[in-house]
Amino acid sequence: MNQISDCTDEAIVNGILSDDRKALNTAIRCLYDRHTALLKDYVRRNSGSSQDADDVIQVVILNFIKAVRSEQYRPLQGVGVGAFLNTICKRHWLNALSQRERVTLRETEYYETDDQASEGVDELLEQREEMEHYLRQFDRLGERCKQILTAQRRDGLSMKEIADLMGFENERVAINEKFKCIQKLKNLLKP
Amino acid sequence: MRPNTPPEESEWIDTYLNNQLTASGKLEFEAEMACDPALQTEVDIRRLLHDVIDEYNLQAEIAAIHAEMMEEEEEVQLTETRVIPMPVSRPVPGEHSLREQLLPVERPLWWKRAASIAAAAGGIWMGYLSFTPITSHDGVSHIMRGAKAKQEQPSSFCYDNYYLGQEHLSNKRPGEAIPHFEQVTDCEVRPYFKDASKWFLAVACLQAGQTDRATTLLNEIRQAADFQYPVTTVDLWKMEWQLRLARLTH
Repeated sequence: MNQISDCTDEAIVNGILSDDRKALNTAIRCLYDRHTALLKDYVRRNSGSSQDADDVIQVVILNFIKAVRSEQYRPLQGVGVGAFLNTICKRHWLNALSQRERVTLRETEYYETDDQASEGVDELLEQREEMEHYLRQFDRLGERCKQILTAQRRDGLSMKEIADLMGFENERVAINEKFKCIQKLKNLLKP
Repeated sequence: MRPNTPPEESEWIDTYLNNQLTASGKLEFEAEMACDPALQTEVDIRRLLHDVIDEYNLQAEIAAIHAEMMEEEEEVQLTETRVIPMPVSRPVPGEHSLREQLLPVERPLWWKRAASIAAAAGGIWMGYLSFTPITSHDGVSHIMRGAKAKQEQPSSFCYDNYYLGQEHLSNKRPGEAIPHFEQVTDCEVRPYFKDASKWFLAVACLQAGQTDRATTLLNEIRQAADFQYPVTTVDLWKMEWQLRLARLTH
């Protein structure tokens, strides 16, 4: 693994807030490089398997990025990135454990006497549950629809470029296809 | 101007949400939105869709990095060439106590590294003993050996055999080397050459597959109180190891 030189809390937060995908990628790598060993260890020591730990890490990082972008986490609040990640990890994992009915008394007590870093984390995780529902629906779209919609948002491609890349006859055909995909997604997301 | 087909209007909304409309286009869009609640609702829905798509992309990006990092971690564990350093914390308020509570269980891999280095070194050493040739010629010159008398010059029968034997041995013809060294061991020459010939005879026997005879000669050499030819310790180890290997494989 290539060592990333600047992985300070500030650099990580700046990378997440940046519009540059490369900067975001570096920030995620920093999170993995500097912080995930502890989190994995926590999950494994609390009835989790290595697979559980891998899954939790991804959820924690995703939630952390959301918290930074929504300003629920700010680096100058006196809570380090590591501490905040630990709190998200514990809360998320204990929720998962209680759903599995495997939570222990010690863990429950710890859950209730957590520290200052926990402020806002519960709200973050609740929002996450709602988003997880939407993501499951999005995943039900066909691959072609997912490609059209994600490519435009991720790579900032114009409809003309998408038409060329995906082999549509022209831009108009691509726009019509995208419209159908959006309608399909809206139907899937309807309560 | 507001597009008049649903797909084009849909694209118009995306252009507005992506901040890609001109200043006047943006004003026009917002004016339309102010007097059309359906358009406002559609914009809100599309904001949510954008969030979902962005989240999906972000998840995919994290998953890709995760897979890459895990692959790298596995490679490290397989090769054991380096250890992923544990995160070093700076004294950040609120972090220290958590770190103490969540002490890493990743045990240092020094013993694994030491074991693998020892195994690798052992393997290299065994390979060296097994596959590098035993010195098959006398590197010390005749004069340096202290030959003074004319009869010890290489022109004599015994010395001819001595050098011919070495030549055959060096050219991977141990079977042809054996009779020449046997001749020298029966010659009336200085003990140095007799002993040297005995050693080279043992080497030739080993290479010719005569392991029993080579073993006997090696034992004699080891037990000799005043063996004149300076066999190196490494060559002795090579001989012993290669004899063991030869016995195992035959």
